Amino acid sequence: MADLNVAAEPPPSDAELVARCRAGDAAAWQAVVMRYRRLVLAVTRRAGLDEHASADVFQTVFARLVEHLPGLRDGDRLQAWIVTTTKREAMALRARGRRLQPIDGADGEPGLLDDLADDTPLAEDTLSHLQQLHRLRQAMERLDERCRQLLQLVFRDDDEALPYEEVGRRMNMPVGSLGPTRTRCLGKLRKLVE
Amino acid sequence: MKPFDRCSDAEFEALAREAARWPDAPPAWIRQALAAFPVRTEATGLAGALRRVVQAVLAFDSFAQPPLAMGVRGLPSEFRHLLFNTPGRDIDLRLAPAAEGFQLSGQILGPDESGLVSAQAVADGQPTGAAHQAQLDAMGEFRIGGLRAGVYRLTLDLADEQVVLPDLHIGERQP
Repeated sequence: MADLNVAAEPPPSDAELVARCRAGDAAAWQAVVMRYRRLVLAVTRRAGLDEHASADVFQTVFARLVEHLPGLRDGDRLQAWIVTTTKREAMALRARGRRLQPIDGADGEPGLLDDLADDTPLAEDTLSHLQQLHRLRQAMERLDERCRQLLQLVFRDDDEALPYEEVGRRMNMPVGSLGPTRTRCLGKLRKLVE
Repeated sequence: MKPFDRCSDAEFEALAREAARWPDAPPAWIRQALAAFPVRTEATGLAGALRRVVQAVLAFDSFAQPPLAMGVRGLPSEFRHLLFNTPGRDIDLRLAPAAEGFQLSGQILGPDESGLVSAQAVADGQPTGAAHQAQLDAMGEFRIGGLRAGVYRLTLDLADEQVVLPDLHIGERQP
């Protein structure tokens, strides 16, 4: 059976990556983008932006971060900076879109008045939840390959869900051991985030 | 929001499920974000006037993709596909387990007719042992075998510049 006890060594901290970026290290910048890409995307989507607007905000956030790196004295504040900037850019884009939106709608389309109840899509609770998911996602990437692969297979979207027999085939594991292994992997994930 | 240590097993699993399903940004967005970082170039040695050192940036890593993406490509999980970019060149790498260790193959997509690829094992940022080297063929392809698990620094010595890739971690083989 596969060795399930090996977890990857801790990744570099945000502060370390920021310091390396400031020294011109492109690999560190790559690590920052890869680390935060999902969180930035999730914030834009939770703000209700469509794909084009999300893409605009995504690029703006990382472009501003490049400009802001020399002034980012506390590298441990990187995540907070990214979340705040993404939220601000997303809400600004929403506001600009609204100025062009008719107040009472037309031709059956929703207008500004129909949307007022959903005016706080990025409340602090929501952002905290997204950052919690970000922590989990980062921890998943530190799991050993077998655990990471198993959790990705059993947690697929409902419309892509696989029967356990297929998961077992892909993992080269007996179906009977999938449940206990999944439990162990979740336990390891929990240790990484607690 | 409930802290992880206060979540029941079911609540924690629900969060893990949601995290596992988090959508990835499209590769084009990621490439554009990577390109926002200014590429550092510097002259080197006697040939400094003619040759530059250019840092390539990662544009794609199959190990960073969800399993479905790998399934679409029909590659078993122990195979790894990476794409790097520099201004004017794309570098396509494939890592595969071999009879002993790993084999690295790839292709340089650019104007080059010749070049030397070096894979140097590094530890704590310092070279260790002799570098593995291979010449580009007429198609810009190369193949290096016999790589052991570890961290490698790849450099491409091309006619007008030296391209340095981010350190590449070659892991243990899957059992």
